[in-house]
Amino acid sequence: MVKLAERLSRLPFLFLFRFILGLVFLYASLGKVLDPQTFAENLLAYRIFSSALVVRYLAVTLPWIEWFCGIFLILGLFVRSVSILASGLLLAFGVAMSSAMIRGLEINCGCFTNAHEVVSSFTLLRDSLFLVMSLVVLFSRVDSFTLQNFIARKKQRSDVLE
Amino acid sequence: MKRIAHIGAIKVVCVDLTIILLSSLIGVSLNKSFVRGRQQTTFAFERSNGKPVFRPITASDHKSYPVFGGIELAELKKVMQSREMVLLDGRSQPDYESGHLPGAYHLAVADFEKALPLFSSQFAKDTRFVIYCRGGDCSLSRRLAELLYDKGYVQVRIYWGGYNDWFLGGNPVEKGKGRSFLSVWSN
Repeated sequence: MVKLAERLSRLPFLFLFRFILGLVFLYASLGKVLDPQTFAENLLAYRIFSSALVVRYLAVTLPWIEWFCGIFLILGLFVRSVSILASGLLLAFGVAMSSAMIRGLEINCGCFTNAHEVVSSFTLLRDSLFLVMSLVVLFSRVDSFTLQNFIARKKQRSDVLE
Repeated sequence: MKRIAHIGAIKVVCVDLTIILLSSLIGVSLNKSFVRGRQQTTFAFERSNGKPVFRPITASDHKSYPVFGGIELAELKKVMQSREMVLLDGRSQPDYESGHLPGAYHLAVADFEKALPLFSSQFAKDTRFVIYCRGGDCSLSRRLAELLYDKGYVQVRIYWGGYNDWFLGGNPVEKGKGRSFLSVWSN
């Protein structure tokens, strides 16, 4: 298992997965950060939350969590922690979308920048794909093109020189 | 070795908690009034490229109908207290049952013709109505207003913010069957 993770870490697709996920999260967060009211309406449409305060709180907090996930994934900082958060978010979105589909709700999914996109098997499949990518990033060794590895290597070199 | 793994796991959890906390702080501090439910929403019934846009109905949109007047949240609250107007919910039955404005009657656009006999027997033509639906891009309230206008109920205003505006403002809601014109109810 460790060997497999080590081999995977050398492959460029890990960097690609991390970078694509980062861009997706960053793009998804921007519209919601600017317009929390619409995002709150989208959350409300799922009919999962009974408290308005919870909806309002989630509507202003979730976009910023997505924003941090996006930035850190692109830069390659705290990759393990951020991929756990990203996987959790994608799993929660997937469960919410499945529940809406089972209940026959035709609602705006609220996936990207508040654009109109009805919850469908396509949006669920796309979410699952991102979840798989996020889990691969989580369970593989951190790829070599990250800022955190660059910092670690620099520190190692300066330690050796001293 | 185990200790290192534990330290690693604690570090991961700490970073996650910091991100969540930081996101909460930034999100809440940038949207204080919204989180407290005091923000008056400015949205209306249409969207352009996914963004809510206020565009009042013009005569060219509905040549055979007048421009129905709107009503804002503050005025609606006053009207509800004085009971000078009747609230009508134009959404579907499950939407109405999962939560509606206190005292609102349910008259779904889809069941309008079926519900009309009972509705007509309860309300005179000069009754003043406030209609709402989900809010935002929901067009049910306008459609219901048109249907009522056709039947001679001309004193109709629309709460464009709708249920979402009301609920997100932290205002009380009623749940359950309430007063639906398709089920037996007594006033």
